[in-house]
Amino acid sequence: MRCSLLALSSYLDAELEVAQTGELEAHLLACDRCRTAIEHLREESERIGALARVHIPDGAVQELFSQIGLIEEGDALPVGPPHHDRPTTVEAPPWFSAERGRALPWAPRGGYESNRSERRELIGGRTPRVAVAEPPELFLWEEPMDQIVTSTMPAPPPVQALLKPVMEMPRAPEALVASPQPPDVVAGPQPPAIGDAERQPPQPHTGGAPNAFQRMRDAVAVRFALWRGAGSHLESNVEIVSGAGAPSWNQRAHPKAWSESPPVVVAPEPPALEQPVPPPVVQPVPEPETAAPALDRQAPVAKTAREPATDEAAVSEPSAAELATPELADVLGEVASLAAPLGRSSTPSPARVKPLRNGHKGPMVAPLAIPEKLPELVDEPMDADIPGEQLAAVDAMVSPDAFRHDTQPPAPSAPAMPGRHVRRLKSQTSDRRSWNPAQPRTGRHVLPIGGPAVAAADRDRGLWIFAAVTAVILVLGLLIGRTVTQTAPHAAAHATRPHPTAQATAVPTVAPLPVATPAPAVATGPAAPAPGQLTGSHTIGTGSSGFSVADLRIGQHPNDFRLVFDLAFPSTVTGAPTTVIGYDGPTTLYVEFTGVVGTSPIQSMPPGQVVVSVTPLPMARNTNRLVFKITLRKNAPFDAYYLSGARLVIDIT
Amino acid sequence: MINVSAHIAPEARELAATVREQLDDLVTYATHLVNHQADAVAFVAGGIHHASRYPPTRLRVDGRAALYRAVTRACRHGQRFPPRPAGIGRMFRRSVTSVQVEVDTVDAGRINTVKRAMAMLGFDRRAALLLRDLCGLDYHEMARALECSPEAAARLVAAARREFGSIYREIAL
Repeated sequence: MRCSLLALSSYLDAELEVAQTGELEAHLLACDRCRTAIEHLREESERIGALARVHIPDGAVQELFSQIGLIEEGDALPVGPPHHDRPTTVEAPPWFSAERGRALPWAPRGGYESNRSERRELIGGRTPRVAVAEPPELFLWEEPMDQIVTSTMPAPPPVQALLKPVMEMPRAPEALVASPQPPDVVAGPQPPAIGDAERQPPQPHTGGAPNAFQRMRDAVAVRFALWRGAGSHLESNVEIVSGAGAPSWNQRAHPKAWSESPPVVVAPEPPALEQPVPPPVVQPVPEPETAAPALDRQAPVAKTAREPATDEAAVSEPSAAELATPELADVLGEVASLAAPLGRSSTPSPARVKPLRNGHKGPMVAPLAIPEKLPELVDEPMDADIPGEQLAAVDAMVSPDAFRHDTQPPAPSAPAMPGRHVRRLKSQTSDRRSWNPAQPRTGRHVLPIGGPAVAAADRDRGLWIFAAVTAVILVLGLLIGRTVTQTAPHAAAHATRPHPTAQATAVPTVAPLPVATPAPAVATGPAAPAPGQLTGSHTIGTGSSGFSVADLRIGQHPNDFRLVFDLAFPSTVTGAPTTVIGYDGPTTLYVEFTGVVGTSPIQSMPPGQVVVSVTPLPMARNTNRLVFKITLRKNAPFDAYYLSGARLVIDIT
Repeated sequence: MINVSAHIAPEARELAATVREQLDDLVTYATHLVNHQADAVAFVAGGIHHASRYPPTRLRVDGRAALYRAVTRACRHGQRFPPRPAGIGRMFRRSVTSVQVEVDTVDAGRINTVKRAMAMLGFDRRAALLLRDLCGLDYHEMARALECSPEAAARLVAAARREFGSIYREIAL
């Protein structure tokens, strides 16, 4: 045999043949290298096996199986492997014991891998171990003293063991098949008698009708509980019609999609008892005496059928099958035999049991839900023998499907199953439905399950957020756009628009100014008229440049109103900038500086003066032309001149 | 009261019993395989859902190996139950309810040196190690779970142990 890693690993896993095992063991006795290698392999195997385990509690298993579709909600879980989430005996902390505690926070505990396949141990015996993630000492401190299991205190029987016979009772089809005829031995929940008030569940004592405050308090509590997520634990037939959790108008259109609970079996009463013609089995009003012999014949049957029963509830609560006629008891026995493999009870629901008609004086007889055609078949005399073909017809008709409450016929073919062994709990239409507020959807971006089934559109929240963000961006764009939108087209049109009056009245009395490039298209505001368009213009200055308007002073004089433009300029600059002053209208005066690059903020004019306002117009780009628009209260002549120090004085009379 | 619900196939109960017996080990295996607790439960659910389509004979013959195969396949291909919507269309569809099971996987999800070394292995080798050393499957069951031959499973386990050992010693030291 060739010694290799594969051989050593297979030997460690006890997967080698007997002959190869013998050869390898003989080889390992002499080969230190292989012995070391197999020790390493064993260590790595132990490390992997010491990983923490996950235990799923029974409730989570039930939920998982129900979601997958392996079992129905309410069905009993299959018996799982035993799990000890708590140590059976009190383990002392490692520092209490003689040996030194392990460095890792968990401690090994044996016994878990008892069902695992045997592994070969070469040197020494390896005890199967598994790591428990919870240190035992934490359990010691968590538990109260009276709950610590001691050897003197007998352990109570597990609840699982007590409930097991009860839970498995309806799932034992062998006993039902062995005795198909007596209907009273059908294992399953027996319906309570209609008139038996003692067996009714105790009604809560309300102590009178609640007052308005209590009703309001309860309503608030229910709403708050729904909002907190406790609504999923309420009954499915509780429908909220207003307030939080109430469906909207489009959700009311699908009342079937309201609940994921099992189908409500309280269905409309069977139409057989609703027909005007009284069923011949009962015959309550015309011949009340015919029901009495039927009861007389039924009484011993029910009595003898009750005898072997040991359950007190079964004795004290005669089922509907016991109250039926012998023929009907036989029919129900057949139904029970048909339903036995399903593990279901064939006893009709008490909600579907209808009492006899008014006027019937005798005891309550046969409160059964029978298909429509059944009375016709049992119309024969009670003591008559029923032919075999009729019995076959009854068997075929009184099938479990005959007791379905929905009026729709069963589907002709089996629907598509999600899996061969998976029972379909919901139909495809219910799977495909888009909105069900009673079933909160969960996912990556939605509320967790069990959350409130209220109006919060958990799955549409993303869409709502998207719409809100889009709307906010749109509004911000509109608001910002209004403030920063350029009025260039309007300014250009205004600047290039010829002024007929100016053209007509412009008198070139002075030399043409070195007008800068008009560039009206790039103006950022209302453009100033060209110097040639001004009327009554005056041109002063020496044509220097490099100035800026430092201040604008105003003053009321006895004969005129004076405006003084104080220009700032560097020391190297001499003279004054070329300035054109003229009218663009009767009350609009323009002051155009050439060679001035900026201005300081202009103060507002005091009221009651001839000058209403002085407004600097935005400068065109790449130009040194600065224009002031002076609005006058009335048409007034002016006089302009420069003083020393480059101060422009305009006296408006 | 007559239960009018549909008939439960006996195979479903057999599968439920088998799954119930192996569920803890399956979730443990998936948790250490994908290193994510929530995904592990979703993958186990997807695997069980996939195993429900297996023929009954296969389930009876393979037993737990069939379940491990289904869970391994679900972890490998990222098949959850219910399946997540894919593609651009998921932007216009409502989300799907995921499996919500309250499982305490804090301890299994705690990262230690062993898990760090395990994370550096390939998927097949990691699965082989976990199947053999954590779940206790023999080579024939591993072959059924990993869809290979028993010889290939043996080679996979041996190589995985060697690689894991070298990585672990390198990390631990």
